[in-house]
Amino acid sequence: MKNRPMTMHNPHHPEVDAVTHQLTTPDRGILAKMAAAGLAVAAVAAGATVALAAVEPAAEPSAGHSEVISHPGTEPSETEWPDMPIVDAIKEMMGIDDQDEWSCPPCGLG
Amino acid sequence: MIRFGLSLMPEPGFATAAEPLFSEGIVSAVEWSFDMGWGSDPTPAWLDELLDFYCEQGWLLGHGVSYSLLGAAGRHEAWLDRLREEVERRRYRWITEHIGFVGAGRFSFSAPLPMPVADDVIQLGTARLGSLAAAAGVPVGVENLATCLSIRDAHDQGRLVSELLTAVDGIALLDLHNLWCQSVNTGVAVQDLLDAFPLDRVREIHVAGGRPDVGAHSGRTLRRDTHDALVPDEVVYLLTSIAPRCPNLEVVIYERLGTSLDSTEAQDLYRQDVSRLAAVVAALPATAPSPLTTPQTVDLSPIEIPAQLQRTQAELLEGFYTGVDAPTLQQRLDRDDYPLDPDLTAVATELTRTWGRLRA
Repeated sequence: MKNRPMTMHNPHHPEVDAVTHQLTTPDRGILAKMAAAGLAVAAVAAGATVALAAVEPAAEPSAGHSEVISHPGTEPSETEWPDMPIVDAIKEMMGIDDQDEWSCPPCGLG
Repeated sequence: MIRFGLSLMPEPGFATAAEPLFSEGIVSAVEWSFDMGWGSDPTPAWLDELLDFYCEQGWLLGHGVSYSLLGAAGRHEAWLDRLREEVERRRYRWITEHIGFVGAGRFSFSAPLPMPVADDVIQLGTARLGSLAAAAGVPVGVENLATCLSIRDAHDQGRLVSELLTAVDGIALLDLHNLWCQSVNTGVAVQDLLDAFPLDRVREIHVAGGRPDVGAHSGRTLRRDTHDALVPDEVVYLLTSIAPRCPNLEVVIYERLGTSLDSTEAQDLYRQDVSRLAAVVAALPATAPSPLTTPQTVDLSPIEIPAQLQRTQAELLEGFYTGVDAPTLQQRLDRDDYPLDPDLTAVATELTRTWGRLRA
């Protein structure tokens, strides 16, 4: 972790030039993993056969995990039935096993 | 100094978009909706490490989604058990939840929906917030909702926030896009919506973007809190005008859905917008927040579930889900403190059909 005072320049907001900030920078290893996360998914999307382990540790979840995770505190931009891992999380927490109970309710949606 | 931070999302698109921002050092706090990580899918390694990093710095903020603070029914004890495990693993600076209920009747989950200022609501919400505080062991608070179902609903929310937080000396999380949504959707000026809001309790502000919508009945302009667009100038204006009135403000968090950052263009625009907001926050007048307090005594006597409230919430979700019109649904509710606007009822129907999940 590095905290260092620095002057920020923003061309859209010159009024804040010369404002002193305390910057917080996570370790390079974390940043490298963040950058690699996007590269790994892009590689999968492109059908590449690269060894993903070379760019990301094995602990990184599969591309499938990353497909759709939305925040239920917000409103979805589309009305389609969402693939929502948080619902799976809640279901798991509640000990609900019956998949039918979590399929689309009887309304014609989905 | 008021800190600036990001709401963390697990998607690779977010990682790609946000990595340069972390690298530049402008992210001095992060917020994590920890119940998003309670499923069987592991969180990405980079996300876990970021959480650990900001935890060590003392600037990891927790934001629950599914506790159902005002929910009469639900699995609150199971949720609190998971929270105890969560806070044992990582220490959060504070933990907040939405001021609403999720799930009722045959629905175990829904989008957060509002409740009126009423004795039974305050009694239940106060007890639930106390349980949250006891389990969390850190300061707790509530966030104002974007969703409202009437002018009264929007107008009363500040008072409800104030009433609930008093008992636990809690934190107010003021979401400015939510506030603006309510103002647009009800025609009530932001200033009037803030009349009863406890600005002295605001330690955290949310900024986000959303989308315009059209009222299904009147055709009037509505605003939706979709978190998939840039922060509008109106919200930036609200930030610069309201933040100086919050003497205990510590941090501003930028929210954006990771699923909306799936293109290079969207990621570039996101970064520019985040940088813009970081600069705006840096230019805000410094605050001198009072020390954070964790309630020492919390009443943990068994929570009495008000029967009428339980019926109301179940009736609401059922009505929204099946598309019952506002006047009919209004008649079904056996309380007169919950007026329903037809356009906003239609929005609630859409939300409930999208996010509602049936109980097993």
